[in-house]
Amino acid sequence: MIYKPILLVEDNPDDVALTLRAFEKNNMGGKLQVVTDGQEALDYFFGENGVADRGSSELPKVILLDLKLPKVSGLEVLKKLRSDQRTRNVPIVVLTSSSQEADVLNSYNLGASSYIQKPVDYKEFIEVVSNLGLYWLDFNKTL
Amino acid sequence: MTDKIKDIMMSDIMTDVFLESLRFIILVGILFLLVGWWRKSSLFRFKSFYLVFGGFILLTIASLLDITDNFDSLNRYIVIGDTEIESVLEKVVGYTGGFVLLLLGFRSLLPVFNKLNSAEIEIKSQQGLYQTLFESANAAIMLIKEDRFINCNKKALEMFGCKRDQIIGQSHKDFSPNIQSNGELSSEKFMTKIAKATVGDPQFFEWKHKRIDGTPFDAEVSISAIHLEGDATVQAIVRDITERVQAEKKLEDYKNGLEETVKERTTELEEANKDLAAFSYSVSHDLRAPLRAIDGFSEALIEDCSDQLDKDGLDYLNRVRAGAQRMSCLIEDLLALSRVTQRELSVVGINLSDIVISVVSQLKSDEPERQVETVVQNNVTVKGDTHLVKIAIENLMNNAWKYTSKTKLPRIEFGASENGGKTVCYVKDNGVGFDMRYVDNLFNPFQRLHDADDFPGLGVGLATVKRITLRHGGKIWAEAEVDKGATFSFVLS
Repeated sequence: MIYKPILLVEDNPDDVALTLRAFEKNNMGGKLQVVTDGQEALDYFFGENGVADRGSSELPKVILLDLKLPKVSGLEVLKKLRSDQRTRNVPIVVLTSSSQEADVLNSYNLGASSYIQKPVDYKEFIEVVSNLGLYWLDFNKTL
Repeated sequence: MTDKIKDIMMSDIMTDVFLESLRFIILVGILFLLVGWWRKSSLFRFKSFYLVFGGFILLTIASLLDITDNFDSLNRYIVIGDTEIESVLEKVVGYTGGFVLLLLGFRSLLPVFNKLNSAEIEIKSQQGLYQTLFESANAAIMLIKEDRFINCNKKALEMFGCKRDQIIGQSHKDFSPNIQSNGELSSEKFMTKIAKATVGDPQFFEWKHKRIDGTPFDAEVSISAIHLEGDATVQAIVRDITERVQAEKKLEDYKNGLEETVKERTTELEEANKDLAAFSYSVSHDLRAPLRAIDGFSEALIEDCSDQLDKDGLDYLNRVRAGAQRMSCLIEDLLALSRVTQRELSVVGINLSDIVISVVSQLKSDEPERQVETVVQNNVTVKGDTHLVKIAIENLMNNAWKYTSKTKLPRIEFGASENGGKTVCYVKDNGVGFDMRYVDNLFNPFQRLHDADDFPGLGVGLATVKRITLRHGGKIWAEAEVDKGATFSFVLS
């Protein structure tokens, strides 16, 4: 099986550390790649040596996208990824603090595959990550 | 007869002739007067006048015949001279007939004269009345002929601040500015109005006048054509409406000011709402991340370093986590409260009973071990925003559920009654209730009347319900007694 990473787009180092820890707890730590702002996320796909140029085999299995990001917002990243032929089918899970109706609505309108509010309770958070991994890495069928 | 006697008789005859001629002349004069009067006056309308006239004619003829009997030489004519026929004609036909006709004529004319006399008096008094009306009118009345004022009343003089000779014979131009308030040329507008009035179409319009000293004032003018002695004349009635115009202007200014204020307030409100939305957004995104860090790393500490921590240390860390989670709930509730405020209402007909029943079944499935008697009145319908009304019902029912948790035979009732055309809904429980002294605090956010250990909660629920009822133009109130239960009633307008 070809190695397909999970891409985490998250600017808050605490959240990055906690997410990493949660993935490690679920034995998926090695699969996580991290970019820390929206521009970096776009570069990851469309910049020099961007994955999209190298073919769909190198696209991440799933993208965990925060909404509030420096430089380019999460919704903007979502829009760009969904409007490009090469990245439009990659599952994108919005993983954010917000439970605002507008955020949920906009995310789905722009083509998010799922919307998850990060729980404050870390135990719940680990559970969410575990389910995420199980669902998107094991059960979900992608191209 | 002697000559002397003859002379005396002659002189008597001459005196007679003289006097009789004088009488005749006087009677002829009267006839002329009557004829002249006849042509001018309207007396000829009366038949009796002809009797009088005929009477005088007979008298005149009689007096003419009377003269002839002084001359014997005329005796040979039968109808004149001193003859019997002459005598009969003179005495019987002339004088008697004349006087009879006069008598009859005057008799029937007398009431007419009386009438005429009283009519004249009436005309005079009417004239006086009209003069008084004209002069004491509380509006300037002016007569205009060929663009010149030919008459006016006292009020006109007072209004234009001038003397009679300063206005009579002058043109309206001397009492109007060149241009009217709406930019029209005064002379043009005036000519149009006069032309219309002259052909029998009375005009009523507002007009800018000016006094003789040049100060302008607002007036209301009514002009109409009248015919005076056959001449086309225009009557103008002018009212000074300065005060009214000023009041109108004030009102207009006030209205504009009010609109301006409303606009300002609306902008302020929009700004405040925008700020609130931005604030909520920031709270929603940024405030929770640090809490997650606090909770997450505390948990990590517990997991990774529990062997280095004693019992107290672990307890402290758990307290840190509990605090972070509690704050997270507070943020969640606050956001929910602000969403209630910001959400746009979409009002439809709602069956409240259905909502209550679904909330009850949710509560029962969450805590199946609890036995609560629930009574729900069927088909209670209101108009409101489904989403918000549902939140309100959930809060009220959750509270009733929660505060009956320590009651022996818990009972929750939902129902409604009509009061003054409005549907008053209520949620009634037999739980712990509360002290009515603190009822005012009940609906303020973060105000609680119970210990969080006994009944967990943050105190945002009722504040949210209150906000929802207010947004619907309604209200909510509560009645309770400690340990006897509470009833929350609300109206959605």
